[in-house]
This record gives sequence, structure tokens and C-alpha cells, in this order.
Amino acid sequence: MKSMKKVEFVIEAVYVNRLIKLFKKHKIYGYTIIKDIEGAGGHGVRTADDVSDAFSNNYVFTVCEAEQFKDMEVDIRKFLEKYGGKCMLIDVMLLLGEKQRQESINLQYSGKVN
Amino acid sequence: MNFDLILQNMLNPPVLFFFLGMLAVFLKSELTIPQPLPKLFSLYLLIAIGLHGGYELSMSGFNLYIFEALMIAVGMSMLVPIYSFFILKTKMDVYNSIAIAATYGSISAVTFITGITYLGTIGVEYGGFMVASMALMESPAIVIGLVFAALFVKAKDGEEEEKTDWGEILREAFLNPSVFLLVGALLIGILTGEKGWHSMEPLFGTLFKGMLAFFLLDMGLVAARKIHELKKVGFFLIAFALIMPLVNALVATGFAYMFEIHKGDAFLLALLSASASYIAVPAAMRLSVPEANPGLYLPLSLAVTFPFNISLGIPLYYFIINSLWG
Repeated sequence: MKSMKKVEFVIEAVYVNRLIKLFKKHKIYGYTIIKDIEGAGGHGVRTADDVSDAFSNNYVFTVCEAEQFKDMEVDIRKFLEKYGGKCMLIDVMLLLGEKQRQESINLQYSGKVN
Repeated sequence: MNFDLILQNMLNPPVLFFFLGMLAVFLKSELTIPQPLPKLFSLYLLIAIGLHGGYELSMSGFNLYIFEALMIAVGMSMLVPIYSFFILKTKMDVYNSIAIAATYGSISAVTFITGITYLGTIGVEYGGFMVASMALMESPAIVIGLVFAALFVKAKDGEEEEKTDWGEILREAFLNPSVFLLVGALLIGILTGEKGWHSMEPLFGTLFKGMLAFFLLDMGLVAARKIHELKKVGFFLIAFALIMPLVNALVATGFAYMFEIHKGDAFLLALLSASASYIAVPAAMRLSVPEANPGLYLPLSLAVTFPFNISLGIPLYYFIINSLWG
């Protein structure tokens, strides 16, 4: 198990590429996108059957180290200010595969990780 | 105006399906068209008219007449956003003026498709090259909008001016899926000519009207859901969304008359000029002018101008052109 931050976004589809750019700026290269989500929020009800992609909402999340999130926080605030959307931060435990777990243990014993 | 013209348009099955979609929402029916079918219909229609237009163009060739008609189309798509912007700016902030002007400067492919279906119903011919004029009219308004944004929008006090990503926005203007697919299908139609069209006709010709009915049913559902947003829009903008199409159609008609464009082509030029975008421009405006309120420009185009054009606009513009051309 490894303690990480899960950063979730609900944003308009047109801004997804800009969010990905923000991730990359902070050396986050892994993310998941779920397209055409439905629900209601500050902008009223959003359905997924709009003729224009411009107004469909997407759900994007990434998992990163706490330090990485700290570096990114100011940029995320600016992003939300300009483009709207929601950002949720969750503490998660990442379940590692056996090989990754062994590597993590070896790193700890070799004193490279506190 | 001849009531028969309105009746002929309104009793066109695809148009009736549009109103059926609206009725479903008003009566709170649970009718929905599951995703991603509406996007498939949209892609189908773009390929169908692109291929058919390309085939027609391969048969007719390119001449001065076609060049003149295309120039009127491009001219209108640059002129409309300019005068619309200055009209809107008298009552609104710069951001929303830019976005609404660009919306009305660009075109609606489905309005055009409904227009050519109407011409087919009343037996009036038009040139296949008009599909090319439609493709050419998609993007200039977006570029004009970007120019206005550069000229009139200043960074707020204390806010550092953000660098515009021109590459991303111009890609959205010229390579957005609608324009890309339409132009691509048009070129394939030109390259493959008659033989190509006949091999594709069972899918992209015979089924065309049925697919249009499906798409318009979905458009009716979407447009009706946007109607409640009009409460926030205000009288000025609703009047703009109803009067501006007619003004734009009249300006285009004037140019078409001056250059002796044929009746069917002139009607399509007027209809394209009168239509407003609800797919390409909204996406580009969200990227380039995020400060503009999409709750204004999308309902105007989708819930006011589009229904007006496909119900009353089409017969009205045809009536005006028919009266002038005789």
C-alpha cells in the first residue's frame, strides 16, 4: 500500500486538453478520462446528448504524490477560476502489484526512502 | 407570402420530426436518443452532403459563376460577424458580443440540409458546389471573433495577460470535426466522381431523408430543453435572434441578385447567411473567449434561430427570392 492523492475534476470537454497540459507541466503523465457524464451543478442540468461537444462534461482523474499536488495547486486554482468546473482531492491508498511492492520495500531497507 | 410554401416545408417529414422532438420535451415524455447515436447521424449527414456535393462538382466542373457564388459565401461569412458585433456591442459586454456575433456569422449544416430537402420537394435545382460554399462559411466567423478578442479584450487590472494558444484555436476553427469531414467527403466525391457516388448511393443517398429525420428528432429534443434558458436571455437578444437571420438573408439575396446567381443557389446562400452555428463556433468560443456566457449564445442559436429558420425562414427566404427572380 502506498499513500497518494487522487485529484478528480469535472470539467467541460473543450478544456480537457488544457488540463492535460497542466498535468504534464507538473510531470504527471497518467490520467483517466470518462466522457459525456451527466448531472446537475452550478450551470444547471447537464445532459450527455448535446449536439455540440462544447457543453458536455467530462470526468478526469489522476493519482499523484502529495508533493506533486502541492506544486500543482496554484495552477489548478487559476484553471478553475478561468474555465470553471470542480476539483476534488481525496487521500487514497494505492494497492501495489507484488513486483512494485518488493521494489518499494527494497528502497525502504536500502535507506533511500524515509 | 404564399401559404402553400409554408405548408410544403412544414409537411416535410424530417421537419415534423423536429417538432415531434420538441413536443416530447414539452409533454415531459421520457423519449431520448442514446449517445453516441446523435453524433453518428451528424457524421452521416456531413459525409452524405460532402460526397454528393463533390460528385455534382466533378460533373459540373469549376467556372467563373461558381467562383462568384463561393466569393459571396465567404464575403457574407466575414461581413455578418462584423456588423453583428457592432450592433450587439451597443447593448452588451465585449465577450458576449464576440461570441454571439461569431455564432451568427458561421452556419448551421442541418439548416442547409433541410433547405436542400425543401428545394427537392418543390423541384428547384441547385449547384452541388453549394456544399463547398457551406464548408467555406464555417470558419471565417471564428477567425473574425478571435481578431475582435485581440482588439477589444484587455487584461483585467492585476491580471497577467495570458498567452493565446493560436495553434489550438485555429485548429479548432479550420480543422474542427464538422469542417474536416465535410471538406474531406467533398474531395472524395470530386476524386471518385459518378462511379464513386453510385457505389455509395444506397447508404448516403437513399437513406438520407430518414437519417435527417432521426437527427432532427434529436435536435428537437435538445432545442426544447434549451428553451427554458431563454428566460435569462432577455428581449433584445431574442429579437436579435429572430430579426438578424432575415437581415442576413436579405443582404445575401442582394449580392446574389447583383451577380445573377441562379434561384436555387441564391436561396441556399440566403439560408446559409441566415443560419447560426451551434456546434463549431460554440466549441471555438469556449476555447478563445471563455468569459462569454454559453447560456446566451447556444440557446439563441439552437432554440430560437434554428427552429425559426427550418419552419418559417425557409419558405420566407424562398418566397422573397422567387418574387425577385420570377
